[in-house]
Amino acid sequence: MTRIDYLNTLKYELRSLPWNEQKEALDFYNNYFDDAGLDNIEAVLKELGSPQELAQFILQNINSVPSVIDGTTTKKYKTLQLNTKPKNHTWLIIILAILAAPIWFPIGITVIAIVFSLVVTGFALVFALVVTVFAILGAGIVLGGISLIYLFRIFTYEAVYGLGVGLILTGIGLIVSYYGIIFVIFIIKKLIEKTKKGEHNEKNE
Amino acid sequence: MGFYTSGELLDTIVLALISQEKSYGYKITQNVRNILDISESTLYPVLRRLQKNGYLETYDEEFAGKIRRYYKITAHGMIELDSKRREWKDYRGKIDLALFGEKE
Repeated sequence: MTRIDYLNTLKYELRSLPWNEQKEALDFYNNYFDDAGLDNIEAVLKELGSPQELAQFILQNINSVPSVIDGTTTKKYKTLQLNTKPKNHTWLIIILAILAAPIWFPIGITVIAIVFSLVVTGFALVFALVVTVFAILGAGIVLGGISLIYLFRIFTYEAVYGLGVGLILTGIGLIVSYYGIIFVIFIIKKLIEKTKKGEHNEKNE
Repeated sequence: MGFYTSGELLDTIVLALISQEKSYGYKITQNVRNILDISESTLYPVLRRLQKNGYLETYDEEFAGKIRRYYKITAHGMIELDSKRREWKDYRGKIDLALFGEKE
Protein backbone atom coordinates (compact mmCIF):
# COMPACT_ATOMS: atom_id res chain seq x y z
CA MET A 1 0.00 0.00 0.00
CA THR A 2 1.42 3.40 -0.94
CA ARG A 3 1.36 6.44 1.23
CA ILE A 4 -1.41 8.06 -0.82
CA ASP A 5 -3.56 4.92 -0.68
CA TYR A 6 -2.98 4.73 3.03
CA LEU A 7 -4.05 8.34 3.61
CA ASN A 8 -7.08 8.01 1.35
CA THR A 9 -8.26 4.91 3.18
CA LEU A 10 -7.63 6.63 6.50
CA LYS A 11 -9.72 9.59 5.38
CA TYR A 12 -12.56 7.29 4.42
CA GLU A 13 -12.40 5.46 7.75
CA LEU A 14 -12.52 8.77 9.64
CA ARG A 15 -15.62 9.94 7.76
CA SER A 16 -17.74 9.99 10.93
CA LEU A 17 -15.59 12.81 12.33
CA PRO A 18 -16.30 16.47 11.59
CA TRP A 19 -14.50 17.76 8.52
CA ASN A 20 -11.89 19.80 10.41
CA GLU A 21 -11.02 16.79 12.58
CA GLN A 22 -10.49 14.64 9.48
CA LYS A 23 -8.23 17.31 8.01
CA GLU A 24 -6.21 17.65 11.24
CA ALA A 25 -5.56 13.92 11.38
CA LEU A 26 -4.63 13.65 7.71
CA ASP A 27 -2.35 16.69 7.95
CA PHE A 28 -0.65 15.10 10.93
CA TYR A 29 0.06 11.78 9.25
CA ASN A 30 1.00 13.46 5.99
CA ASN A 31 3.52 15.52 7.98
CA TYR A 32 4.60 12.40 9.78
CA PHE A 33 5.40 10.59 6.54
CA ASP A 34 7.30 13.65 5.31
CA ASP A 35 9.48 13.63 8.42
CA ALA A 36 9.92 9.86 8.48
CA GLY A 37 11.65 10.16 5.12
CA LEU A 38 11.49 7.86 2.12
CA ASP A 39 13.62 5.10 3.65
CA ASN A 40 11.45 4.75 6.68
CA ILE A 41 8.05 4.87 5.01
CA GLU A 42 7.74 1.09 4.81
CA ALA A 43 8.64 0.65 8.47
CA VAL A 44 6.32 3.46 9.53
CA LEU A 45 3.42 2.00 7.56
CA LYS A 46 4.01 -1.34 9.24
CA GLU A 47 4.19 0.25 12.68
CA LEU A 48 1.04 2.25 12.20
CA GLY A 49 -0.96 -0.83 11.32
CA SER A 50 -3.73 -0.84 8.74
CA PRO A 51 -5.56 2.44 8.10
CA GLN A 52 -8.68 0.79 9.52
CA GLU A 53 -6.91 0.02 12.78
CA LEU A 54 -5.39 3.47 12.98
CA ALA A 55 -8.76 5.11 12.32
CA GLN A 56 -10.36 2.98 15.00
CA PHE A 57 -7.65 4.01 17.42
CA ILE A 58 -8.02 7.71 16.62
CA LEU A 59 -11.81 7.57 16.95
CA GLN A 60 -11.52 5.90 20.35
CA ASN A 61 -8.90 8.17 21.82
CA ILE A 62 -9.36 11.59 20.32
CA ASN A 63 -11.79 12.85 22.93
CA SER A 64 -11.01 10.99 26.12
CA VAL A 65 -7.87 9.82 27.80
CA PRO A 66 -7.44 6.10 27.28
CA SER A 67 -7.85 4.57 30.71
CA VAL A 68 -5.04 2.17 31.14
CA ILE A 69 -4.32 1.39 34.79
CA ASP A 70 -4.42 4.73 36.50
CA GLY A 71 -3.07 5.05 40.02
CA THR A 72 -2.56 8.78 40.22
CA THR A 73 -6.07 10.08 40.35
CA THR A 74 -9.64 9.14 39.61
CA LYS A 75 -10.22 12.52 38.04
CA LYS A 76 -10.39 12.32 34.27
CA TYR A 77 -10.20 15.00 31.65
CA LYS A 78 -13.57 16.32 30.82
CA THR A 79 -14.48 14.76 27.52
CA LEU A 80 -14.61 17.48 24.94
CA GLN A 81 -17.67 17.16 22.80
CA LEU A 82 -17.16 17.89 19.17
CA ASN A 83 -19.21 20.51 17.39
CA THR A 84 -21.27 21.66 20.33
CA LYS A 85 -20.55 25.31 19.64
CA PRO A 86 -22.56 25.78 16.43
CA LYS A 87 -25.55 23.97 17.95
CA ASN A 88 -25.50 26.12 21.07
CA HIS A 89 -25.29 29.17 18.88
CA THR A 90 -28.40 28.39 16.83
CA TRP A 91 -30.33 27.59 19.99
CA LEU A 92 -29.28 30.88 21.54
CA ILE A 93 -30.38 32.78 18.47
CA ILE A 94 -33.76 31.03 18.42
CA ILE A 95 -34.33 31.69 22.12
CA LEU A 96 -33.24 35.30 21.75
CA ALA A 97 -35.56 35.78 18.77
CA ILE A 98 -38.54 34.39 20.72
CA LEU A 99 -37.77 36.44 23.83
CA ALA A 100 -37.24 39.61 21.83
CA ALA A 101 -40.46 39.16 19.78
CA PRO A 102 -42.53 41.67 21.83
CA ILE A 103 -39.83 44.28 21.19
CA TRP A 104 -38.84 43.77 17.58
CA PHE A 105 -42.38 43.30 16.27
CA PRO A 106 -43.59 46.88 17.04
CA ILE A 107 -40.17 48.28 16.10
CA GLY A 108 -40.37 46.52 12.76
CA ILE A 109 -43.86 47.87 12.08
CA THR A 110 -42.75 51.40 13.03
CA VAL A 111 -39.75 51.25 10.70
CA ILE A 112 -41.91 49.96 7.83
CA ALA A 113 -44.45 52.74 8.47
CA ILE A 114 -41.75 55.43 8.48
CA VAL A 115 -40.19 54.14 5.26
CA PHE A 116 -43.62 53.93 3.64
CA SER A 117 -44.53 57.50 4.66
CA LEU A 118 -41.20 58.80 3.32
CA VAL A 119 -41.79 57.08 -0.02
CA VAL A 120 -45.33 58.49 -0.21
CA THR A 121 -44.07 61.99 0.64
CA GLY A 122 -41.45 61.77 -2.09
CA PHE A 123 -44.00 60.72 -4.68
CA ALA A 124 -46.39 63.47 -3.52
CA LEU A 125 -43.67 66.13 -3.89
CA VAL A 126 -42.78 64.97 -7.40
CA PHE A 127 -46.46 64.82 -8.33
CA ALA A 128 -47.03 68.37 -6.96
CA LEU A 129 -44.07 69.65 -8.97
CA VAL A 130 -45.36 68.04 -12.16
CA VAL A 131 -48.87 69.44 -11.63
CA THR A 132 -47.51 72.95 -10.96
CA VAL A 133 -45.36 72.88 -14.07
CA PHE A 134 -48.25 71.69 -16.22
CA ALA A 135 -50.51 74.38 -14.72
CA ILE A 136 -48.02 77.18 -15.44
CA LEU A 137 -47.26 75.86 -18.94
CA GLY A 138 -50.94 75.31 -19.69
CA ALA A 139 -51.95 78.77 -18.44
CA GLY A 140 -49.12 80.40 -20.43
CA ILE A 141 -49.92 78.60 -23.67
CA VAL A 142 -53.68 79.13 -23.38
CA LEU A 143 -53.32 82.81 -22.43
CA GLY A 144 -50.72 83.43 -25.15
CA GLY A 145 -52.79 81.57 -27.75
CA ILE A 146 -56.04 83.40 -26.99
CA SER A 147 -54.24 86.77 -26.96
CA LEU A 148 -52.66 85.99 -30.34
CA ILE A 149 -56.03 85.09 -31.86
CA TYR A 150 -57.49 88.33 -30.49
CA LEU A 151 -54.62 90.32 -31.97
CA PHE A 152 -55.35 89.03 -35.46
CA ARG A 153 -58.98 90.10 -35.20
CA ILE A 154 -58.60 93.44 -33.48
CA PHE A 155 -55.58 95.19 -32.03
CA THR A 156 -55.96 95.92 -28.31
CA TYR A 157 -53.39 96.67 -25.67
CA GLU A 158 -55.06 94.04 -23.48
CA ALA A 159 -54.31 91.40 -26.12
CA VAL A 160 -50.64 92.49 -26.33
CA TYR A 161 -50.48 92.39 -22.54
CA GLY A 162 -52.08 88.91 -22.54
CA LEU A 163 -49.61 87.66 -25.18
CA GLY A 164 -46.69 88.97 -23.13
CA VAL A 165 -47.90 87.39 -19.92
CA GLY A 166 -48.62 84.13 -21.78
CA LEU A 167 -45.07 84.02 -23.21
CA ILE A 168 -43.55 84.76 -19.78
CA LEU A 169 -45.62 81.99 -18.16
CA THR A 170 -44.67 79.54 -20.91
CA GLY A 171 -41.02 80.46 -20.44
CA ILE A 172 -41.19 80.03 -16.67
CA GLY A 173 -42.98 76.70 -17.17
CA LEU A 174 -40.28 75.43 -19.53
CA ILE A 175 -37.45 76.56 -17.22
CA VAL A 176 -39.10 75.03 -14.15
CA SER A 177 -39.87 71.75 -15.94
CA TYR A 178 -36.29 71.58 -17.31
CA TYR A 179 -34.71 72.01 -13.87
CA GLY A 180 -37.45 69.88 -12.29
CA ILE A 181 -36.62 66.95 -14.58
CA ILE A 182 -32.88 67.35 -13.86
CA PHE A 183 -33.59 67.49 -10.11
CA VAL A 184 -35.81 64.36 -10.16
CA ILE A 185 -33.24 62.41 -12.20
CA PHE A 186 -30.52 63.50 -9.75
CA ILE A 187 -32.58 62.31 -6.76
CA ILE A 188 -33.36 58.94 -8.42
CA LYS A 189 -29.67 58.42 -9.27
CA LYS A 190 -28.67 59.14 -5.66
CA LEU A 191 -31.27 56.70 -4.37
CA ILE A 192 -30.07 53.93 -6.69
CA GLU A 193 -26.44 54.55 -5.67
CA LYS A 194 -27.37 54.39 -1.99
CA THR A 195 -29.31 51.15 -2.31
CA LYS A 196 -26.44 49.65 -4.31
CA LYS A 197 -23.97 50.71 -1.63
CA GLY A 198 -26.29 49.25 1.01
CA GLU A 199 -26.36 45.92 -0.79
CA HIS A 200 -22.59 46.01 -1.11
CA ASN A 201 -22.16 46.61 2.62
CA GLU A 202 -24.51 43.78 3.45
CA LYS A 203 -22.52 41.47 1.21
CA ASN A 204 -19.27 42.52 2.90
CA GLU A 205 -20.70 41.78 6.29
CA MET B 1 8.05 -3.95 31.26
CA GLY B 2 5.27 -5.16 33.46
CA PHE B 3 4.01 -1.74 34.40
CA TYR B 4 1.36 -0.13 32.26
CA THR B 5 1.54 3.51 31.39
CA SER B 6 -1.69 5.34 32.04
CA GLY B 7 -3.13 7.63 29.42
CA GLU B 8 -2.75 10.55 31.80
CA LEU B 9 0.90 9.80 32.37
CA LEU B 10 1.51 9.68 28.64
CA ASP B 11 -0.30 13.02 28.24
CA THR B 12 1.88 14.50 30.97
CA ILE B 13 5.09 13.15 29.45
CA VAL B 14 4.20 14.62 26.06
CA LEU B 15 3.36 17.96 27.68
CA ALA B 16 6.66 17.95 29.56
CA LEU B 17 8.70 17.11 26.44
CA ILE B 18 7.08 19.91 24.46
CA SER B 19 7.54 22.35 27.36
CA GLN B 20 11.29 21.80 27.07
CA GLU B 21 11.37 22.43 23.34
CA LYS B 22 8.79 23.15 20.64
CA SER B 23 8.61 20.11 18.44
CA TYR B 24 6.76 18.34 15.62
CA GLY B 25 4.79 15.11 15.39
CA TYR B 26 7.47 12.74 14.17
CA LYS B 27 10.14 13.98 16.56
CA ILE B 28 7.79 13.95 19.55
CA THR B 29 6.83 10.37 18.72
CA GLN B 30 10.47 9.29 18.49
CA ASN B 31 11.32 11.06 21.76
CA VAL B 32 8.47 9.37 23.60
CA ARG B 33 9.42 6.03 22.05
CA ASN B 34 12.87 6.42 23.56
CA ILE B 35 11.23 6.48 26.97
CA LEU B 36 8.20 4.23 26.59
CA ASP B 37 7.37 1.26 24.45
CA ILE B 38 4.47 2.73 22.52
CA SER B 39 3.27 2.31 18.98
CA GLU B 40 3.88 5.01 16.37
CA SER B 41 0.16 5.53 16.11
CA THR B 42 -0.39 6.42 19.76
CA LEU B 43 0.62 10.02 19.68
CA TYR B 44 -1.75 11.77 17.33
CA PRO B 45 -4.83 11.50 19.57
CA VAL B 46 -2.73 12.62 22.54
CA LEU B 47 -1.47 15.73 20.76
CA ARG B 48 -4.89 16.55 19.36
CA ARG B 49 -6.53 16.22 22.76
CA LEU B 50 -3.91 18.37 24.46
CA GLN B 51 -4.39 20.94 21.74
CA LYS B 52 -8.17 20.95 22.10
CA ASN B 53 -7.87 21.32 25.86
CA GLY B 54 -5.81 24.45 25.21
CA TYR B 55 -2.55 23.03 26.59
CA LEU B 56 -0.77 23.04 23.24
CA GLU B 57 -0.69 25.39 20.29
CA THR B 58 0.27 24.55 16.74
CA TYR B 59 1.83 26.62 14.02
CA ASP B 60 3.10 25.74 10.56
CA GLU B 61 6.65 26.39 9.46
CA GLU B 62 8.38 25.50 6.23
CA PHE B 63 11.15 22.96 6.50
CA ALA B 64 13.05 21.64 3.46
CA GLY B 65 10.27 22.77 1.14
CA LYS B 66 7.51 21.11 3.14
CA ILE B 67 5.14 22.53 5.70
CA ARG B 68 5.80 21.17 9.12
CA ARG B 69 3.37 21.55 12.02
CA TYR B 70 5.05 22.49 15.26
CA TYR B 71 3.60 22.10 18.73
CA LYS B 72 4.37 24.43 21.61
CA ILE B 73 3.04 24.64 25.13
CA THR B 74 0.60 27.38 26.18
CA ALA B 75 0.43 29.20 29.52
CA HIS B 76 -2.59 27.07 30.31
CA GLY B 77 -0.50 24.00 29.49
CA MET B 78 2.27 25.13 31.83
CA ILE B 79 -0.22 25.39 34.69
CA GLU B 80 -1.58 21.94 33.87
CA LEU B 81 1.93 20.49 33.69
CA ASP B 82 2.79 22.02 37.05
CA SER B 83 -0.22 20.44 38.74
CA LYS B 84 0.52 17.08 37.07
CA ARG B 85 4.11 17.23 38.28
CA ARG B 86 2.87 17.74 41.82
CA GLU B 87 0.44 14.83 41.47
CA TRP B 88 3.23 12.68 40.14
CA LYS B 89 5.55 13.53 43.05
CA ASP B 90 2.82 12.61 45.49
CA TYR B 91 2.11 9.35 43.68
CA ARG B 92 5.78 8.46 43.30
CA GLY B 93 6.39 9.13 47.00
CA LYS B 94 3.71 6.65 47.97
CA ILE B 95 4.93 3.96 45.58
CA ASP B 96 8.54 4.50 46.66
CA LEU B 97 7.45 4.14 50.24
CA ALA B 98 5.72 0.87 49.48
CA LEU B 99 8.57 -0.52 47.40
CA PHE B 100 11.57 0.70 49.32
CA GLY B 101 10.23 1.35 52.79
CA GLU B 102 10.70 4.42 54.97
CA LYS B 103 13.74 6.51 54.12
CA GLU B 104 15.68 7.64 57.18
